[in-house]
Amino acid sequence: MKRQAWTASAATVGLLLSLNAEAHIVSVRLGDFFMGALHPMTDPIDWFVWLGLALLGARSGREAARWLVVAVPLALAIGLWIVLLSGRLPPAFISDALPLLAVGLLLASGYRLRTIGLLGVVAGLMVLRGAANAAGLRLGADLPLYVGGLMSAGYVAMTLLAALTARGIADEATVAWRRIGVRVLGSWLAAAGLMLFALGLRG
Amino acid sequence: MNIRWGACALIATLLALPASAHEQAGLIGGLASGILHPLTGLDHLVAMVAVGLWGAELGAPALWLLPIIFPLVMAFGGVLGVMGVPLPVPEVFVAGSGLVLGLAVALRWNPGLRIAAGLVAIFAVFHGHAHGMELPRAANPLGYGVGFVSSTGVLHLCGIGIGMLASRPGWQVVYRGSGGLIAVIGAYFLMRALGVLL
Repeated sequence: MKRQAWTASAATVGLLLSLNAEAHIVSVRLGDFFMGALHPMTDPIDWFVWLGLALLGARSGREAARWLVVAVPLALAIGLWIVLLSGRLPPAFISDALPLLAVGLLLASGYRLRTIGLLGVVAGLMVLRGAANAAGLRLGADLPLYVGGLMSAGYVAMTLLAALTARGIADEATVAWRRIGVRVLGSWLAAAGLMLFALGLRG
Repeated sequence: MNIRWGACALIATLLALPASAHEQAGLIGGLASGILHPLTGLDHLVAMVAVGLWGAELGAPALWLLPIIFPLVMAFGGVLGVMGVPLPVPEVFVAGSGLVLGLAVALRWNPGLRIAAGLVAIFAVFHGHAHGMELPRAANPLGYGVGFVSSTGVLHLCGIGIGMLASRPGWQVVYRGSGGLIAVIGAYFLMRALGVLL
């Protein structure tokens, strides 16, 4: 009984002394960081292209795949920067359909890229996706925070996806069906990209 | 007591309105309609299963080349559909694909990889064209595209699965019987497309 009274007293004191929760740091000007980080998560094109790139990197070997962790965030930032300088967003059929088609075809072909080739593909596709993600930048937003959020999302996603896929498919002992599965997935992505491209051209 | 409950249930039933909880909109709506499109058209469904069955009969490399190449060729047909490029008698080709592929399975026809791939590619263009015509009207074009391509892939997988079973003793009848059934369904749709049946 005495113990319960103590607990109740402690709870009452705790309630009386409570302050406003600052858990949601949107209200302390970090909202633009989260906006940048979450924007690619709201677009399935980014999920598919990032997953495709991670698979492509994993197939190119662990040495090449490690570069993705650096190259993807940088290319995203460059893409966004280009849009800010030019003041124009790329047409959707270029920034959405082209990366999907390109990454899908590369996966479906079963071709193993060298590090330099992989970096070239990453640079091209992620600059386009970075440009597409500039659409989420609202007027008056804190630019460094938004870019930081976008780059962090790219970094985290690439690290996780590349590590998982490298473990899954890049080992020499990998069974053949996994590689076939990756090629089939690539073919599906390329097919979707091709039709989106046509739809964009049609207007 | 029971009468009261019964009356309440009757009134509630009479006053019921359609549930709109699962609105078929956005990405999920597009994905759902894309997945359902090859499944709800029996002529598409049987032809896709037949492709898988035939691939299993032809063996490697057709077995694994088929699910990689087919979606791409089908997407090419889809592009033609999206752009509004007309194809000659598309219904006849879609229906005829069921008949031809069903017969190939039933008769265990093995014309070699090139001829088989060429034949399947022609049919893929027509099937893709039919799906592509629906794309501009889809709730979400990306979702629709991914949905119908993956749904087609799963149908191939079903065919391959049945085809793999055929190598077991006694399962040949199931394999060839599936081909025969597909051919009959294909013939029915073909006659409808030609106007022989209403």
